[in-house]
Amino acid sequence: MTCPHAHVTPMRVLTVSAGLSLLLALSVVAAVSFGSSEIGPAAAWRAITGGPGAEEAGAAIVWRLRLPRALLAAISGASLSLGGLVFQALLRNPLAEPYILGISGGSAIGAITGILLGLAHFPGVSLFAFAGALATLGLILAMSAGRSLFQRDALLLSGVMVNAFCAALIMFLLTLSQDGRLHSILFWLMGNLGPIGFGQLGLLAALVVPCFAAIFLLAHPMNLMLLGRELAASSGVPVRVVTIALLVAASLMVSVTVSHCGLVGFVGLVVPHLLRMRLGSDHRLLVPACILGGGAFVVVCDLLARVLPEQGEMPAGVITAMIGAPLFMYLLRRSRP
Amino acid sequence: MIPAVAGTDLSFAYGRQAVIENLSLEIAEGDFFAVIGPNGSGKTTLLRLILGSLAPQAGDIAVFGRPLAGYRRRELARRIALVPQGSVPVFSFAVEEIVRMGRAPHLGLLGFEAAEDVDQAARAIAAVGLDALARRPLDQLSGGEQQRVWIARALCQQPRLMLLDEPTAALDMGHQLQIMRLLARLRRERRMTVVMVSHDLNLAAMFATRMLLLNNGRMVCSGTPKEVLQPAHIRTAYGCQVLVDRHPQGDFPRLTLPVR
Repeated sequence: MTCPHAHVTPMRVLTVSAGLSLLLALSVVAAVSFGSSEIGPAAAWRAITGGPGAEEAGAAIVWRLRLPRALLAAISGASLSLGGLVFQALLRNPLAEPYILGISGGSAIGAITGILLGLAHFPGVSLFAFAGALATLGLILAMSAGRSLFQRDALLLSGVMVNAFCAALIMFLLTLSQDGRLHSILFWLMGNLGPIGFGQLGLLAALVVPCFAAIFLLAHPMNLMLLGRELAASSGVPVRVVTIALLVAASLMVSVTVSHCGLVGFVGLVVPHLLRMRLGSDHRLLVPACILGGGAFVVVCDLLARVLPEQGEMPAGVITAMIGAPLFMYLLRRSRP
Repeated sequence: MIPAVAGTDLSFAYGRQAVIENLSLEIAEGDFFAVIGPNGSGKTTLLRLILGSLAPQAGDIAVFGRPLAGYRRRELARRIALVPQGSVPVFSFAVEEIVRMGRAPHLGLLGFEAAEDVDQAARAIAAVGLDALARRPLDQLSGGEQQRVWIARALCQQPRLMLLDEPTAALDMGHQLQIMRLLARLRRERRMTVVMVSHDLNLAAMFATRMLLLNNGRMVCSGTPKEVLQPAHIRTAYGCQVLVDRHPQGDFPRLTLPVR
């Protein structure tokens, strides 16, 4: 096996980031161009550059529907991928991922509770989602800690159980409520990147971008902590502070993302692993790569979810799970001795 | 001269389980210091107390004349480096990537290495003789080579004191000797203090300048290998009779287990 272990320099981080930014931009242009009504890249580009007031046919579709949706997909993909990367590093477990660990499920319960209580999306529902994420995180850490701290199987099993419990609780809440919005909530659960306004997009970005920055600042300590907590501490890393900062940042960005786009599963598994194969395990490179590459991945998955069905569309989570679940099984099999 | 490590009346307990009791020790700068004792005698805990990853519940510990509490974390990391028992990280890193991580306490905010840091890492890799394998993933190396990588990583920290937790435990005879010779050479060339936890008394006797024999968290004996490795002390600590004679090639003790 050859390993892509070229030395990570600021220059290499910039080069890789530039390449992936281009990929992300292309995927957004594609997402804006294709759909139930064909607009085409050229017209889409004119509509984007022409501004929201452009008279061009299709400008309304681009500006009201597709562009916000593509940007939501990009932000969701970025934070879910980065969430996966952070949990894999902290728990030193290649199978850790917000969805598999049940953290997405916990956020969803929080978000649904907020919706059923009739709260505004921000800050009410987002806060409930964050609380749900922290509660599940605390639960799985408490369940898997103790004698065999963060041991692989204990952690995965806890996650599976928390996930099952969350799914049951969600159905329980939905059935009790007899809410007219039942169908839309169910759809949202499978990862629906529905309509969103630029105002909400701005709020979402304002919450997740500082998390991205904080995690990038902690990229080198994450490398060291992969070697072992005691070794990291003996190299000058304040392990406890870094761990808490990473857990809070990752939970915050995952929960606000889930409260917008529902359960888009496995993104945090697929993207970091693909990137690690190409780029190596250094987080100073993987953090920006996950943000940009993860964004592009979900934008493309959502595009497929829109164009594949003859009529209507399917949730983006269907596509990400169809790619991610087989990869999970492959990784699980390969990681056994 | 200021000792590298000075501990007075150290006590440490996990919960109500006392692990180190009333232990005082002094490690002079430049010593090759072996901590020996049976399983559960508190060797690794002592190492952690020196490293500062555990704080004693009673007693004081000073490193290079300054109490551990008086150091900032990165400052301490530039003086003390740890060689762990050796494990392979879940994600693959190349040898040089791991060794460069030893520069951590010398790096700036974003943790990118300057040319000088890359140089230091290359020198550390050369010092343990792994130049040819620098770009290979750690998991493709043999156990002995991996142990040398962890030593190089610690060297790269440019410490004055290196702590090792059973560095030869998982190695065959040839590699054990190789690692010990490497440590002896590094100590000599860099005037570094080496503190090592070991189960292999014969190997420790050949290389250590000073020894500390622990039992149930208390000192049984401390001194040169000749002074410590005596049948009476070994019986106290390990509960078994040994024959002690002289190594045929040098003036250090050799232990042999009796047939009956």
